[in-house]
Amino acid sequence: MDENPVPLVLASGLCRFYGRKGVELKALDHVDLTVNRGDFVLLKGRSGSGKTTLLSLLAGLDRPDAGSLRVGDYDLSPGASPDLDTFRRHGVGVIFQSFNLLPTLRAVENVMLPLLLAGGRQQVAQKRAGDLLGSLGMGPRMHHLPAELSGGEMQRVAIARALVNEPMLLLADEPTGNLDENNAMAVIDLLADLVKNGATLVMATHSDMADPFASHIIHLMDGRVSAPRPDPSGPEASSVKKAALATDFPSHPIQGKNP
Amino acid sequence: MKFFFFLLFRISLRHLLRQKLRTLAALLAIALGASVFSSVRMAIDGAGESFASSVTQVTGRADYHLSAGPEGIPEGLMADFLHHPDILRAAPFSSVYVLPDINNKEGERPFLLMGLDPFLDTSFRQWEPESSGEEENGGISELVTRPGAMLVTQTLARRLGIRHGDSLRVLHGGKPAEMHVAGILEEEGLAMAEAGGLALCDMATFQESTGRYGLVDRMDLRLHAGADKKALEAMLPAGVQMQPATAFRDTGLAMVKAYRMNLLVMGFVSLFVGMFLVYSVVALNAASRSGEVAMLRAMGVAKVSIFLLFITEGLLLGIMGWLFSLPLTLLGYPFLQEGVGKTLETLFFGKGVAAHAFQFQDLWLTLALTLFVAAIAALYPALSAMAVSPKMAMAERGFSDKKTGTGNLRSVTGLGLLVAVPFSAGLPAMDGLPLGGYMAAFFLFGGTALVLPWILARLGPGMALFLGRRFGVSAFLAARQFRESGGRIALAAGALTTAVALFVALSIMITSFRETVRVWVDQSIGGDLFIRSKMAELNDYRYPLSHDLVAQIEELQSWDALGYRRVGLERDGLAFDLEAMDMETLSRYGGFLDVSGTSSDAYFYSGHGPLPLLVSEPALHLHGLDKGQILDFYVDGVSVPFEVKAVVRDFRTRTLALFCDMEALAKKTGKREISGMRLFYKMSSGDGGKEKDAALELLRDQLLKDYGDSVDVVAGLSLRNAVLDIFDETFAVTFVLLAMALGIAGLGIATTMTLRVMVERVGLLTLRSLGASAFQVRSMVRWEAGLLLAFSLVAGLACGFVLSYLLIHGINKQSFGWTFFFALDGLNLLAGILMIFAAGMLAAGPAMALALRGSPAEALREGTS
Repeated sequence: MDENPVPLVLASGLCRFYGRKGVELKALDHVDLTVNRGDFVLLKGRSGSGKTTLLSLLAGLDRPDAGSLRVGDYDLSPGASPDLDTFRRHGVGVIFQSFNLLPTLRAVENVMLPLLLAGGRQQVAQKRAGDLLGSLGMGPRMHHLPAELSGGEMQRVAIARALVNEPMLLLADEPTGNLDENNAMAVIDLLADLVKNGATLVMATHSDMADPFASHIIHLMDGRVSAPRPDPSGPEASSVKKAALATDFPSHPIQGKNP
Repeated sequence: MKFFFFLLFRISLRHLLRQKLRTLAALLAIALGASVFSSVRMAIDGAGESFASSVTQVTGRADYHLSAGPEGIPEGLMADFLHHPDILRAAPFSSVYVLPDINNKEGERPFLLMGLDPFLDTSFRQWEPESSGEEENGGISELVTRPGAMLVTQTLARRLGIRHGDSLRVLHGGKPAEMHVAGILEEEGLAMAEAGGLALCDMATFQESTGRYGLVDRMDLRLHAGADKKALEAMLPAGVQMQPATAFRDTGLAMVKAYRMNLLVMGFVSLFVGMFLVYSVVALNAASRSGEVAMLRAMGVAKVSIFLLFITEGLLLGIMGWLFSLPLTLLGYPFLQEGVGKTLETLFFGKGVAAHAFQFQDLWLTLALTLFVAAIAALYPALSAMAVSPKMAMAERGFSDKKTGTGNLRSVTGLGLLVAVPFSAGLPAMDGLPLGGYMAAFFLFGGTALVLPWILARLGPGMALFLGRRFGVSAFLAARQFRESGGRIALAAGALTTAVALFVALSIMITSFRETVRVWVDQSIGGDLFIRSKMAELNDYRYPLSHDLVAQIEELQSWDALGYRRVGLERDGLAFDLEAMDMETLSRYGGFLDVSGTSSDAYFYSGHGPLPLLVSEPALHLHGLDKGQILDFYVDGVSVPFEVKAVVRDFRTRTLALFCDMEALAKKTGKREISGMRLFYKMSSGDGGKEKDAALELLRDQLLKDYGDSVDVVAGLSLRNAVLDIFDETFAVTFVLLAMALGIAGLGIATTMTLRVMVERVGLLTLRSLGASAFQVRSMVRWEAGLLLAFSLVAGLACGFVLSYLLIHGINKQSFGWTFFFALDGLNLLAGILMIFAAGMLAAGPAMALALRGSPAEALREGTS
């Protein structure tokens, strides 16, 4: 944990409402949140508690209805006019539960995509994407289509895609939700390593697997922050971490089976 | 069964209703296709039936006709047959088209004047004058007693504004005649023939009015059962033939058989293009519902039920599309009816096509065909769905992500079909129909559609990389998407390729045809002024030009006259037009377009042996008359042997043309008549033709003043333009059908691109979440549409050139006996291609808008891979 925390995300009184047939649904109701550089923040809560909505706002995929939100130099508050395309290209990297790899692009092309969208040259982008996939143990599979990869492999490609533009903030929405326990643990380890190496990560999850690695755990209920973070060194977390560490699978490469 | 309907209504229908846009596009495409097919079929069959009914009314209850072509037969023969024991009834019959001598538009519209024996005729035809209450002053008694008396139909009376007691001067190739309206015919039987445009008179009146004294056109016979037909034929003088009464009708209908089939095939193409969209809807339904299918299978639903479920979906689309087509058919039918009827009259029947009512029962065939097409379109998706394993209910991903392994089989089948194209095209015509040519065209389209995905898959990553480097990430993504989703895109590409190929092939064929006809008109039927008897074509050139007129023309110093004689001949049931002309003069002003042999070999006759003869190309291709053959024809009652010296181009549709030297023929038959003359202006003053125009105007006015009642005098340029106008009108229907096919293809582009955007929605949202700007997303969709269009246009151009060859040298040759010079109007073709491209890009507009709909945040809630 950093001695002098540098705030990266500052949210205050953040609200997001959805209207349906005259009934207003408060997806987020006055949420305050601070994420410092190098933090590994877990968002927890039941389905419909607002985790994904909060991630959407942090990723610049959606705009808040009230409150203020700042991510790095980008003001995402209501009324502000941020260049969301640029923010998404350079500011954040998003890891989806369903991977969201483009099925017609090969693994390396999926990873190249953010670089190309940002105007990067194809050859440069291919080299960087290849290197990144290689460092994640996906070198031999980089020319495969998503349909030819296992769930764990697809998620590693998705992580590489999120990292390729060196974003200041990584966001992950249930990144292990579609994976078996072994692959899930390996992905958590990978994400934890990234945080150790300086990344900032906000991850929404139902699972307790990542608890031992988290610097903050935020519980959401009905769109509100419901409880302070539990002590990651507490007995429950320790047992999870122990269980995780007890598994025999190496973190790299993740063993997977083609579907 | 109950469970099947439960599945159908609770699942299939709900899916179709949920995908409103997709379903609507398929329904619209099927509706357009079915409507075109129905309208075309009803128009052409209605015209054929109208013609047949008209001929049948005129033929009446006759078993046989005696005839000798336009020359007519001596009426003295009547007595021999009337009293022959084998003859039950006999009646004379003559007819000629006449023009009412009135100064309005009706004065340009001919009607048929029939001459018959009012008493003998009652055994053959049904006609009755209207009862006027003053019987002694009208009707049949007046018809047989008063000179010039005729009965007219109500339709004709209305058209000309005449009634009982009125007089009417009529014009034909002979001397004008003064007619008197002796009554109005009841609207029944004979009065319904010729769309009501007829009048009848006593045979004696007819002969007086038309100058055909002692001659009748034909004699109608009813024979006793067991009559000795051969004995009757033995009584006939030379040149008179005894033919079944249905021969004329059957010949007429046989002539349009190939035209009918060509038009029906064109109509069917619209339905065929619509089939791609039905396939698209059912295939995408089958793919997107694989999980659901697996669940149903896991719950015990039989394979065959799944198969039937998807086939029934296709059939439902077919039925709905057919229902949608009904109002479109009602709207479009009158236009097609008029166009097709006019074309058939001009090209084949001459006259006798009336407007025919819309008949609902005719739509059932379209329904059956639409259902067949829809079932065929649903077959492959239904088989794919049937192959879904119940195990997949446990899997996370559907079968659509997996390679089905049928790609190679499909490509090999496609290649096989393409290889079969030249073999099929080389098959001879069957019963006068170019079935081999159509099969070749079908193989070409089918083979191309099956091979397209294979070609797409092999465009190679090179294309994406190249486009990516040159045009950026949007082009790169579009090219990758385009290449990988070959199967899905191949549907739209197939539809568009088919439509573009048709457009290209028909454009080339029509350009080639028109250019050949233009050269033929200029070279073979050129001239500055044309003179012939009034309505010569309609009346089979039965009236020759008067000796005075011919002599007057021949004395003109500034004009060269090319006289010709037209004689209608029959041989082995085939109708020929022998055109004997002054070959020496012809050789100075033009000539023939040779197909085989040398036409100039027929210009001079040594006086010994068979007469040199030229035959038209259809006589060669349809009936095997080739150079070197000796043919015997009865001309003017004399049997004349001819030797075919060459085959030449000719684009007449109603008969087969033969050509020989006029002087040589006259020597053989002893008859010298001039049916018409082509005049060429001899003095060339180099003033841009002003002097010629003035001389032409002067001569025409003089001739019309002196002989205008019996001859038509037409400037060469007007005749040339009239021929080319008829040509253009003939192909107008083809262009309408083509426009429909292209419209459906455009609809295909709009649907395909919209579907692509819908199917790839999460992918597009993910792109937005990765930072793709709205411009980049729009640009990607634009690039995809552009690539799809470009690919289809290239494939369509290639197919179009092959198809044009099939059309020119296969289908047309076998249908009509014509081939053409290959001509390409590059500029028009390019303009057409660019228009299709532009229309396709416009059609992709809604897809571009749809691509930006929805928040990128939804990418977090939905998954793709």
